[in-house]
Amino acid sequence: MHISRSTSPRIGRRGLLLGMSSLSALFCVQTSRAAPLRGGMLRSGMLHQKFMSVSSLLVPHKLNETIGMRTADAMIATVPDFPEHLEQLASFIEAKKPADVEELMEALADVSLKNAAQSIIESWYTGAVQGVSTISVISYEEALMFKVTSDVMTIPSYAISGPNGWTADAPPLSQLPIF
Amino acid sequence: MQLWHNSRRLDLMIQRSFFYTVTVCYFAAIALSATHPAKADPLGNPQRGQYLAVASDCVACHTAPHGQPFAGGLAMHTPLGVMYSTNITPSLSAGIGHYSLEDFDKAVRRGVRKDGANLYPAMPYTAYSYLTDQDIADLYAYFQKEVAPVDKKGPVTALPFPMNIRFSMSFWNMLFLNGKPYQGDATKSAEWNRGAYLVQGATHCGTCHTHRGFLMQEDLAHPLSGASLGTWYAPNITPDTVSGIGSWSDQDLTEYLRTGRLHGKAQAGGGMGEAVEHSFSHMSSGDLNAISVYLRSLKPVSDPNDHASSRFQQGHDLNPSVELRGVTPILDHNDNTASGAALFMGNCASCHGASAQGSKDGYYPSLWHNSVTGASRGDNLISTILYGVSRSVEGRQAFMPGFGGKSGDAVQLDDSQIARLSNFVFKTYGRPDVQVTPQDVALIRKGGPASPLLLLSRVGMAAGAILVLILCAVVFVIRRHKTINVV
Repeated sequence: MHISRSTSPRIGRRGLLLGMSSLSALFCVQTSRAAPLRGGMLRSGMLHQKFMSVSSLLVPHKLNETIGMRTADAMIATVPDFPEHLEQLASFIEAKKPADVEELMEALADVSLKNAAQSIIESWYTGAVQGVSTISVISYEEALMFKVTSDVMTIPSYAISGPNGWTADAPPLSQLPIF
Repeated sequence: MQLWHNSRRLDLMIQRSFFYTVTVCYFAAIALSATHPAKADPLGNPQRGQYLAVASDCVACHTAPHGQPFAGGLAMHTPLGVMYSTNITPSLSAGIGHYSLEDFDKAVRRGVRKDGANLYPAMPYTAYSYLTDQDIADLYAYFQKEVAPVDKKGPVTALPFPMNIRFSMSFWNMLFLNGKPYQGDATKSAEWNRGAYLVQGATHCGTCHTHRGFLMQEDLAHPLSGASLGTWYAPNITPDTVSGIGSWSDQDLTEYLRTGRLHGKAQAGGGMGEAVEHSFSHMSSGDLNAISVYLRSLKPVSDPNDHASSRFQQGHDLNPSVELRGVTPILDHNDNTASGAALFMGNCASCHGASAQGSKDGYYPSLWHNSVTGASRGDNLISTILYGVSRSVEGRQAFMPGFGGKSGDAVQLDDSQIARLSNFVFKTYGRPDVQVTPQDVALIRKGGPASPLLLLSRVGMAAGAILVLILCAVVFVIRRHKTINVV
């Protein structure tokens, strides 16, 4: 029997998880003064638009606009120097036009910008924004870390099947869910 | 609002264990062969009788929760008061053991007991009047020979005056009782005729799905176009593509009847869940096909309230948590400040999914593309939340807990919470213009509105009595006047 194998490089489930965890490990908490969390009003100003466009390069998945606005709010409020870093990231991307997140990360020389980019990725995957002394929860059900295994597992506290139903069909590992 | 026969089903929420281990196809084959018997065999065939008893769903009413099959005692909360089903086991002391075939026939097809008293139409004898002589003989043989006698009399029905005068039912019968067995239509196929015979007779679909007139008779001008049962609403099952089930294929319909659900369209709850559990899921595929053929040949009835938009295609997935998570503080389920969206996330989403998408295997249905949330009235959503769903088919139970505060309900929501939750669900996942008020929920929690018949008949009688008194007085005065004149 002939088995066809894709020759184009693909991100596997395992590779993605490993990549995510190494990205998280690289992330370090910056030391600066903490700004208080401002109230939950959603804004869609220039900074928020920049957050979404930077995010779309950093996280190549379907991104929820509302979560993006709320994440941007929280990061602006609690992550030190985030507005400046975001502006610089946006300008850098505008100038260098990297093809994908890997290319961007390699091209970024400034560690603080790298950290800012990683914190954006982290917030989309974990659904939380880590400030200096605060963690703001933005999403749980839509946190991207659960999407990778969404073809097999539902996220904790959500049912897979009927009462006490814990079994599910195991799809082939080579097919990463599209999210 | 409706009827006697169906509001009782509410009390059957608790799953019953059943004794249907019959090989249904065998009986179906026998049953199929004898829709129009030339001459009835008075001895009857108990196996065919058993199939007919299943198709007629006798057990649904004539068995109390956790009770012995056919021993009666089920309380039916009707708009006219509480009625109790009777013991129809062959017990000589408590059941119908002393009934002759003619007595049995009179009860099932004419609504008259052995002692001559009329039955209330909670017993769907108007539908069973379409059964043939052979059907009656077979049912009689089954009940007398195969059903275990239970020597226990249930509670006696005592409706308030004037409905306790059973004789009044004979006038009702004169008006509304069909007098003869099913008459075949030679211009139609055998399958259509079989379907018509089943739908009008044994399976008595119209008992729930046909709107009832003032005297609680079925509105035969618009059969099966949907009717309220006080709590649940039996929807339009005519082949109208918007208001009915015209968008369903034959396969869809038979799958729904056999399993009680159709992925992405509908699930059977309330009385229909029981009808599937006790009756349709045990019927032969030939009979289910025949029912489908007949139903799809009916006159489509359109409901202007549906605004040309089918109940099966409303809404889409949406995750309310993206605006709640981290913003709304953690609330107790009794917290009255919880919004509809918060109530949804706290009570519904763990099973139906954060975007109400349901589970992948279809066990938990999605709340969009769902006949309950797509309906143009709130009855079925309110009833589902209040009473839950429990339907066992082929050893698999479909279960949703109620939130109305019955024993076994983990969470009790009050009327205003259920109204807020229902409005959120309709607006987000269903038909957005449906409005539910706490009063609507309170009414369905109570079992639906009482019939105006009771009050009207009492008022009518009081008015009649006053009229008679006035007449007497007039006659008395005239006589006295004459007497005085003579003197």
